[in-house]
Amino acid sequence: MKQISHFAPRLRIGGFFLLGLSITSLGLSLAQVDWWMLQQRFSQQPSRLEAPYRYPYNNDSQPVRVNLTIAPQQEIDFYQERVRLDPRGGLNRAGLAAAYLRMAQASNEDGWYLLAEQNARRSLASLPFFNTEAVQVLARVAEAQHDFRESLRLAQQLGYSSGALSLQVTSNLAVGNLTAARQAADRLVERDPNPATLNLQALVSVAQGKDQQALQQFRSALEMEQSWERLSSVRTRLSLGRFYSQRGELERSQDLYLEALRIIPDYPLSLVYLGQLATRRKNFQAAESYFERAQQVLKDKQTSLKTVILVGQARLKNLQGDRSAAAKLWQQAETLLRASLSGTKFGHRRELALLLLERGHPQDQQEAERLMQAEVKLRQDAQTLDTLALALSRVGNWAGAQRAIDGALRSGVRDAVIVHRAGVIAAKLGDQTAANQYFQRARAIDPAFDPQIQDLTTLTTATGS
Amino acid sequence: MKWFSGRGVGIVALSLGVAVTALGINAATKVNEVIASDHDDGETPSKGRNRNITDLYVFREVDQNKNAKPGDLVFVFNTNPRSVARQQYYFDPNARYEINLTRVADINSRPTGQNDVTLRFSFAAPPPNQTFGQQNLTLTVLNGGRTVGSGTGVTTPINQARRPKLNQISIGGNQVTVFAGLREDPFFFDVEQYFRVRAGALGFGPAVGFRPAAQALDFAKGYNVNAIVVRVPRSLLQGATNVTTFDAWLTVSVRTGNSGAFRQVERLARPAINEGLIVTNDFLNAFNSIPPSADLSPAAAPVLAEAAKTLQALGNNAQEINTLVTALIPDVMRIDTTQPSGYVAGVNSLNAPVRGRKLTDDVIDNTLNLVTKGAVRSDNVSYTGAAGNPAQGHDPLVRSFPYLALPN
Repeated sequence: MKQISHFAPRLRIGGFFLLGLSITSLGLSLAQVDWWMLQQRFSQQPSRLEAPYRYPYNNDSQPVRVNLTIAPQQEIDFYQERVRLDPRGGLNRAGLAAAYLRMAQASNEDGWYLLAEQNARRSLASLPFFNTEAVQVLARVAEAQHDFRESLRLAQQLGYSSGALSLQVTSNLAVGNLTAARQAADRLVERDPNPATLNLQALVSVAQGKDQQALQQFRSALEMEQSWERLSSVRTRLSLGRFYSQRGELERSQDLYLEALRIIPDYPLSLVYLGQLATRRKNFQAAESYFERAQQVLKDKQTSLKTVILVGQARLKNLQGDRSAAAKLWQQAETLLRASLSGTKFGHRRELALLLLERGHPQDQQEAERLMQAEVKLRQDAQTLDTLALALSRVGNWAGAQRAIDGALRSGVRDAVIVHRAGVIAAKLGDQTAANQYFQRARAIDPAFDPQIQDLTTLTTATGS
Repeated sequence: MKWFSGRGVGIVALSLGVAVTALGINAATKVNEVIASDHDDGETPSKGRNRNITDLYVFREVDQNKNAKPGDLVFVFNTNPRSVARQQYYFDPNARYEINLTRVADINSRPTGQNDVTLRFSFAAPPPNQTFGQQNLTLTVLNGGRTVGSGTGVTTPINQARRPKLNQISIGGNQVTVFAGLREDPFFFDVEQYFRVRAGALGFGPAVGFRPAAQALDFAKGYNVNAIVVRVPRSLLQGATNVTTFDAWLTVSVRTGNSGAFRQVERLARPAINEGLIVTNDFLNAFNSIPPSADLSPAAAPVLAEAAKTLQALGNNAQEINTLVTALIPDVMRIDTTQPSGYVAGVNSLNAPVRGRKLTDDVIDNTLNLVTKGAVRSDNVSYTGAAGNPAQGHDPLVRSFPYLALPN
């Protein structure tokens, strides 16, 4: 006892010392903890998907932070050095242009497209012959600027290379030439079956309403995926998730979007899709979280995705009856969209028209119609024609709206929103029988279809615009 | 060599283990972090670079290394053009990389493209989320389409390039050595100036020549390639015969879905033949999808017509074009293993090169001489480069197998 009491003060001092050390160490340790990783680890539910929809290269207990810009930045550095040694050369500068393009696609920032374009043009000035890489970069930039005719013109110069074929698929999809898109996609896959080309082929099948083909092609894309091509793996799942969403299989759609988020955590487009899906399911809190997270991820970036997020948030507020908050968000999005139309070639006319239509201010509807009349001169895919139909109906041109929606339906696309709109237009024009058939068809395509949420026609009227 | 056919795929993944251990903080805060980047093209899907063949080299090993065992042949199968320095790229697990061979009884015969022996390489997926992943590989040797043996090994990640994995595989009692991994691309060519020269010759650009050595630029300098290098005893290729001459060509075939079927998407043998003479991309692709045995078929006639047109533009008359086409088509690389190797070390009675190709052979100069009848002798770049011109000159070859210079 004596010994114990003799040592008691020392023990107390030692105890305080140890406690202090522990607190300090705890503090130091907590400072070293990667909270992002922890959040990823504990916020992610285990995948509910089976192969091949489940990503085979992830370990649920080992979150992965993916930086999509590392590789393009290394390529930029590499080619900048080569251009420094060869300032008058065409090929090295074309390589630099292509690296800028890859950075644009990885970062979603429009500024890189401008650098890509400038360098591709300089490259072609140095080497006007056989300079396919520079031409391909210009074609991709034209596509990003929605100048699909120019993109197709440039693609023609590239013959039938894989790069040219993929341009033909995407640009022909945009201008609504599905036959040409189909031919190019089939040829591309025949020559070069890989996850990206198979995904493109599936998107053409979706646009043509060929569901079974699309599903098979998506599946093939997943079966060929590689661990070093995460973006392809994400894109395929987002496309497939969107497909299932349009068929009313919302659980499956959500699972695929969540899987995409496991492959590249915080990938903004995956977050946006999840936000849109949660909105549709009236899970407003979750939707808000997804949009907020996407906003945080993109906060320092100049990207058009920001307007998509704002519009999504506005819709969310509007559906919850907070018209004033929605108006503020729409205003922010409108400012960004108008700036994009006036300041750069990367304007988003259709998105601005959609915003004006959704917001529903009567004084905006003429402008929306004008925007869409201009837009259809550039592209005539089903979604663009559908938006034109909506814009025409808003200004009372129901016959024009019918022509536009008929054009959209002629593609064969199976989209409940478009089919439902055809029903609304038919009803307005007095053909209730046809309208009922359209409404039935919309339900058959998407049993979960809810016009109150998905169709802007009813969305804005329901909120009293 | 094929110059522009792929886009960036590959991976750089940085693995960082962050273990929080102080004071035994509970395991819930212990997280393994992996940071991966992505080389995906995303919206510009094009043929995976790792399926794109750049070059075939085949030589007697004793002609590269006097200490080598007589009778051993070395094949070099390069893919993944324009691999950027210090980046890890992978072989495609959905592809088969094949070295195809015909046993040639008469060195002066026109190639048949008959597939007598195949060395087939396939690769497993690399471990996910690693910066420098190692792939398992399998070599299968087929004789007349029937498997005679197989064995396994591993690739060499770029960060271990100085300690290459030389896989020893026994096939039918023959020892085969396999290296697979990134190495510096040994090819050299002033591609950009060639494009100008070709444009001038074809009439849609000003007539120009090649640049002098002091200004010429070797476009392949500084890039890496995915290399498969295999050392094979000649006896394995001979089978039950005693032939000493072989025709070789490379193919890449890709899995096409659940059926397990593979489709040929790439083919290459002699350098600068298909890409040098064929201008239209679609024709090149047609060429890539057929075996050499179909090179003279009616289906390939438009391709040959275009090659003839290019040869005509380069100053050849009809008879000369016919001679060249006879010598160069079907496109295979012939090697007479009884004679020293080298691209133009010897030709047969058809005037076709029959001595394989060594790593530093100036095949572009040789081809330019051949197709222009000596009017154009050189692009003025070489493997070792020109003094005072930093735009050309490769790293020295290594002294022993796999011989290719270390990767950039």
